[in-house]
Amino acid sequence: MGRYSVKRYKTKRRTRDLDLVYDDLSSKESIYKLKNQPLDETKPGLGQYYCVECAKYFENQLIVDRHVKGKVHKRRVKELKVKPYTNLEAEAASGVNLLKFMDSVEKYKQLEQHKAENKQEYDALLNQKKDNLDAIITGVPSEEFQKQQEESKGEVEMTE
Amino acid sequence: MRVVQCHFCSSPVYPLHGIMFVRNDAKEFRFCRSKCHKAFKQRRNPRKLRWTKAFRKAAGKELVVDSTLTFAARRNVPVRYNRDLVATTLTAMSRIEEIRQKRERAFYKNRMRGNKEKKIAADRKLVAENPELLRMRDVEIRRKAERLAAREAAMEEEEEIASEDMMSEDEEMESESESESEQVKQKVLLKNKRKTRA
Repeated sequence: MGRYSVKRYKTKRRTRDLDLVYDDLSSKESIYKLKNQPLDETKPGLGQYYCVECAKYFENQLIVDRHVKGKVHKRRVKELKVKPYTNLEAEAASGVNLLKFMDSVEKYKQLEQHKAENKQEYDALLNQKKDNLDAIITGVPSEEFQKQQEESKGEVEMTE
Repeated sequence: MRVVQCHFCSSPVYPLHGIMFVRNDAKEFRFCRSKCHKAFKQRRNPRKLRWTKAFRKAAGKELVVDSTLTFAARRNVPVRYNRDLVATTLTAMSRIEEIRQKRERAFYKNRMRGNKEKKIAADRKLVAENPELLRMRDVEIRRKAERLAAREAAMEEEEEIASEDMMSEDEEMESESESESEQVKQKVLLKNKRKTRA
């Protein structure tokens, strides 16, 4: 499955669309829900390490961190910065349901403003780190994770 | 009969035309032709493809917000049939279309205003920045003149040769004109040809 392959573009294998991902990112509750899913053995990493923007599951926290630094993730984040294309826009372009489309644009602007105002909280939810699977299942945090948490806390204090 | 809009290029899709994709959240996507369907599958952004209506609107090539465009909409309330209402709507439709076309024309004219001046200014700038372009024209003119001169010289040479031939062949018949001499030449040629054939 290379960069251009018919198999990739089959609707059977269609991955989550941008407008749906945008909805996922629109509220803190939905982000929290996706970041903290119940253990599911059919998903990679038991569904514990999820990237909301790319709608992808990962095996552990290390890989998530690497993914977030990468090109693919950054491109996706950039794509999500504009209003996702929906059928409403297609209709409005040919002069049908124009008022409805204008309302949706207005809503989008409000939401974006709300997001910009609460950027820290949103980012904190999106970039939350997780312990390894053993710790999650047993409920006992691992030593490494505790160290990391302390370090990150120290960094925050230093910056402040 | 219901005419829907193509999800990708916004062109009308009539019944029995195109293809529909239903996403797993039950959202419908109608496509007018395979071109649009393929582009959708490849996750192209219609706003970035120049041939779609969405691009033209987003890039300010066409009228976007206008009161004449707000009438066409899905109203989920059925209206009881009324003869007068239908008659007035029909007349209103044509009138609205007329107004819309007028406004679109005005929009287009306004968009194209100042293009001529801009183009001339760009050309001026190009010439000012690249003076060798004018010299190229000089070279062209010079070459043309050279070619003309060469052609004239060749013509003169031919004439000289012809006159020399006349002198050698028709020394005896001095009184004959040029046309007659040419006829004689042709006859000679014909004779030669016959000889070669035989």
